[in-house]
Order: sequence, then structure tokens, then C-alpha cells
Amino acid sequence: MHTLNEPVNDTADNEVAPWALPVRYNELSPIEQAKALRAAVLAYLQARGSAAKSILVKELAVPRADTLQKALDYLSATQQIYLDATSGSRDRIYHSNGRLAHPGAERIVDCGKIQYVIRSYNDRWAGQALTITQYAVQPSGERNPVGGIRVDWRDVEALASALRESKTALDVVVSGQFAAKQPQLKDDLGGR
Amino acid sequence: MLEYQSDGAAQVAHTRFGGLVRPGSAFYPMPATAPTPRTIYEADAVLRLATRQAPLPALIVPISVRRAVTATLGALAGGPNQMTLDGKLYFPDRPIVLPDPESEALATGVDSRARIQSDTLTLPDSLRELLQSGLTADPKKGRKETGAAWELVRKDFGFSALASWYERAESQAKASIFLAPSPVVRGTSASVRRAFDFGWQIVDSIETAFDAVGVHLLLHAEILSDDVNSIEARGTFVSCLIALYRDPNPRNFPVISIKILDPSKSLSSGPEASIRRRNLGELLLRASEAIHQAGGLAVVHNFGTWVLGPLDCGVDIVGFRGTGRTLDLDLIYSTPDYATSNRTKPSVAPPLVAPKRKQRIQPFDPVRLSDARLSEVKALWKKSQAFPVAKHVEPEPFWTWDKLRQREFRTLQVTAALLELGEEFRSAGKGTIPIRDCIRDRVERMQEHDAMFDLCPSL
Repeated sequence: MHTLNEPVNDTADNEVAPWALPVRYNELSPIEQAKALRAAVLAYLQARGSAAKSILVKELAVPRADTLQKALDYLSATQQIYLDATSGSRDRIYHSNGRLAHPGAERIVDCGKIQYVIRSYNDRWAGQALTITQYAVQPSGERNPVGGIRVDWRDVEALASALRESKTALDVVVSGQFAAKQPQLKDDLGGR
Repeated sequence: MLEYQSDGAAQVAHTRFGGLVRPGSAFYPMPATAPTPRTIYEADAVLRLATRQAPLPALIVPISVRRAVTATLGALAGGPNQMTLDGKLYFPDRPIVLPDPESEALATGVDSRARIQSDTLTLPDSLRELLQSGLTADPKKGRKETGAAWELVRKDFGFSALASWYERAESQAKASIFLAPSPVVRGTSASVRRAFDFGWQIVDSIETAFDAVGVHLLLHAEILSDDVNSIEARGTFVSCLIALYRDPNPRNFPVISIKILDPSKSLSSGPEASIRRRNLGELLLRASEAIHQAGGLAVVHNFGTWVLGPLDCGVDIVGFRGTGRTLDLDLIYSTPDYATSNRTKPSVAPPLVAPKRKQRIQPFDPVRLSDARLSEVKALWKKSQAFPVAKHVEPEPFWTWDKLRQREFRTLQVTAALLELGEEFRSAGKGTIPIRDCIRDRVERMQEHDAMFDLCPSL
């Protein structure tokens, strides 16, 4: 059993593994602890490949398993990693997104206070997928991921056309409601 | 997200010609010279030139600049782009904004260190630890050597809080590319490996989206000397860059940014200057070749009036300061610390007030890229109401103005001249005259022949 003062080493005797938690982890602020834990999970999955939660608890030597669960939930909700939720599985397996595909296939959609970032992955192990992550933009310029979805490359076309149809239907509904309200608006304004 | 598109019709040279493309929105012609405004004069000059439609494909914003500078650059670097009275945008062709992470603040006592320390938001413990380190250890003052401090931070605190602070600082500078700070590269292979290793670890721990990500490397001038360790370190540097595309999981569009730390000015003066400059030219040539192979972008900072050298070595974006000097950092060592130094403290104030020295601002010659003589400029103005100026600048009798406006005019001249040089280089690459002849012709008109002959591989 590893403790925090004994970081897991598997590279060399004097080198710290990139996913080892900082020695002074307990002295960090809660926000810094959360960031350190997320960075450690990402580094482990990137270096060692997919892993179940029980393995992550053991390898990262986290002090509390439920803290790790929060980090895993956050990372999977914002599509920085993804989850193999087999039905009935108690020990879920987490996967890294893999290698980014061509930079030309990525986009940042800037919508003021919200940004959407589209990333595409092409990995021998993780497969071909596209993720959309939503970021909240603070007035200071700081950006925080708040949510996201993951779509297989094969389903992107169907999803895009469904979104377009949905948008068209929404436009019709909104314009219909507006048209229906016109006479009432006229009455309200005294027939002008 | 960004992508490099090569120009098929351009000449084949050490440099690649083309441009950065952000699909569906913008095209930034490359290679480019990029101003790095740190003072209000420099920011003002950049803004004025942008208003006069000067070519400005790239802009480098240091993260620790005062608020006045970021406010001046706001509209240009990503703020609201307001319209003129005839309905046109003020800056339709906005530049691509790169940050200068100023990692010299984490190794030496420079001006930016003081500015980072006065950050209004709380600094993380890891950054505080690094800001107390120096190039040499001093156990009496409790100062660690910068490499040891980085190792300690990696082990004790991890890089996530540090990365998060830099992420916020670079977002606030409106940068669209994230550059991670890294420990200073000394004349040893171990320091080279450590810089790459830590830099990419910081890149991997950021959570925000940027158009591209990369590592900012601070090279100490000792890596450019001719001893065995430095030669080995330079070889390791290039092999770390080659690993970017030889790796089984290559990086996507890696941005590698290089700044030279030369506190003893060994590149511009002294017996070894020429050798070091040749080594620098060779290193930049090999590094940019490896970065291009990896499909990335090569950036160097603070080359001042030597910008032609890195451009000829194949670097895509060459930063310069509006002061016009070369490879200068704002060191704050000049103020002696009497409390800690061995020198005796002056007991009484000097009895007489020293006569105020006449401050004189030299004019700048945009053709020779050096200081000009005021008497000659005055004579030319008297004769024909004109003197040599850079494109987008009007000749005016600046010596009759007050010192503040004179300084503004000089900064405007320097910035315009170096931006024009970048534009000239791009058009020469697409022209029919061999690029080598164009460079030779330009260097012949410049003052610093020796430095250019050492730095330019085409000569």
C-alpha cells in the first residue's frame, strides 16, 4: 500500500511518475487539490491506457476514494475522458479520449458567455470520436468546462441533420407564436 | 483551431512561406515579425500602425504588462471591434495573439518578476516558490537554484495550480495560443530534457481550450558556447524536437517558442560573440526544420533589429520590442541592495543636487536599422522637408516636440520599420529574385553586418 509520502515510481528510482500526486497534496487548497487530482487521472490514463476506478484508487494513492469519484465524474461529464458504463458493473472502466485528429477538424464556437469546443479524436484504441465541450466564460477571461457530449464519427452527419431540422422546427414554432400574438399586440396598443 | 498552409508558388529556401489558417475565419501570412509591446509607448505605436492599415499578422503580449497596455491593445487583441462612421470595422484584420509567458521571472530578478508578484489575485504556492529562486543558489538568503526549485515544485505541489494560473493570465492577455513556461535551459543535456518534460506536463494539465498549445523555452546564452557540454546540450535540444514527430503519439500542431537569456551580453559583445551567434543561427536553423517536420510553429522573442537572422533560419514568428535593441530583458539588478551586499551603505545623502542630465532621444534610421544622427536628419528636413521614414509613418520635425512625444515617434519608427521588414521578406519569398540575393541586398544596407553574417545561413 502506497502512502502520499511515497509516490508511485515505475520509471526510474529517482524519477517521479507523471501521475503521482504532489507530496504536499494535503496542504493545497481544495480547488488546487481538485485540479491536481484531475491532472493525475488524465496523466495516468494517457500513459497507461484505460483503467477501472479501483485500479486508479490504488495507483494514484488517493487519500479518499469519493474525492476521486468526484474528479472522475467531472472529467467524464466534460468529455475529457469517457466512461464504459456496462450494465451492472460496479467497478466502471474509464478511458482516455486518445490522440487528437487533424487540427483543421477542431473548432471553437464563441457565443459570448458560452464557448463550445469541438475536438475530434482518432485513436487505435479509443476509436474515432468527436467531442463537444461547453465552457462558461467569466468576465475576467477565465474559462471553465461545464458539460459536453461524445459522438462517434459515423453518427455526426445524422446528428447534424437532426439538429438542423430541430432548429427549423423551432424557428417555425417561434414565428408562429409571434404571428398568433400579432392581433393581441395590436389590441394592446389600441389598434395602432 | 490553427493549421499551416504552405504557399506552393513561393521559393524553396530555409524559410517556409505560407500562412496560418483558422478555418472559416482568418488567414495570417507567415513568416512574420511581431511587436511585443511592454510599455505604453510601444502599445500606442502598434495601435497607431494598425489604424493606418500596416501589415500586422501577429502580436506578442507579455503576461505581466500593466493594465494600461492591455487596455490600449484591447480592441486590437480581441475586445469589441467597434465600427467607424461609414460602417466599417476598425480592425478587420486582427492579428493572431501569442503570449509571452516571461519565464525569465521564474529564474532571475527581472522587472516582470516584481510585476507578477504584485498580482492582485492570490499566487499559488508553487509559483511563489519559483519566484524566489535564482540562477545561482544562495543558502544564506534562502534562495534555491531555479532547476532545483522546479524539481521541488513538481514533487511537492504538482503543476496543476501553476498551469491554472498561467491559463488565466494568458486568457486575460487575449492570447489564442497557450504557451507553457519551463525551467531555464542551461548548457547541459539534463536541463534541456527537464525543460521539455516539465513544459509538456504543464500543457497537459490545462483544462481550457486554446487554438493551439506549446512550450516556451528560455535558453541561457551558455548553451551557445563551444564547450563539450553545450554542444551535447544543443544536440539534445534538437533531438527533443525531432521526438515531437517521431513519437508514436505525435503532438498536434506543437508551438515551440524560444527566448534567449543573455544577462552578460555575450551575444552582442566580447571575444566569443561571433562564435555564439553562429551557434545560435545553426541551432535556430535545425530547430525550425524539426518543428516544421512536426507540423508545428516556431516562434522566437526579442530579436530587435536582428529579426532578419531568425527569419532566414526558418522561424515563423520573430518577436521584437519597440525599443529596437536586441535580446534585452528589463533587469532590475542595477539598484544595489545595500542591506545584503558587502558594499558599505552611504551614510549621508550627497551634499549637492547633481545637475540634471540632458535627456536626448536619438532618431531611428529605418533603412540602416540603427540610431541616426540628429544633425543629419535636421539638415535633410531643412533641405527638402523630409527624411527617411518607415512605411505608414509621416516625416515630422520631432526634435521640436517634448520628450514624451519624441519617444513615441521613435517607437513608432522602430515598430513600423521592423514590420515593414517582415512584409518585404514575405514578398521577396514570392518574387523571382532568389531570396539569398534579396537578403544580401538588405544586409548591405544595414549597419550590423557582422551579426547578420553570423546569424543568416543564406549568406
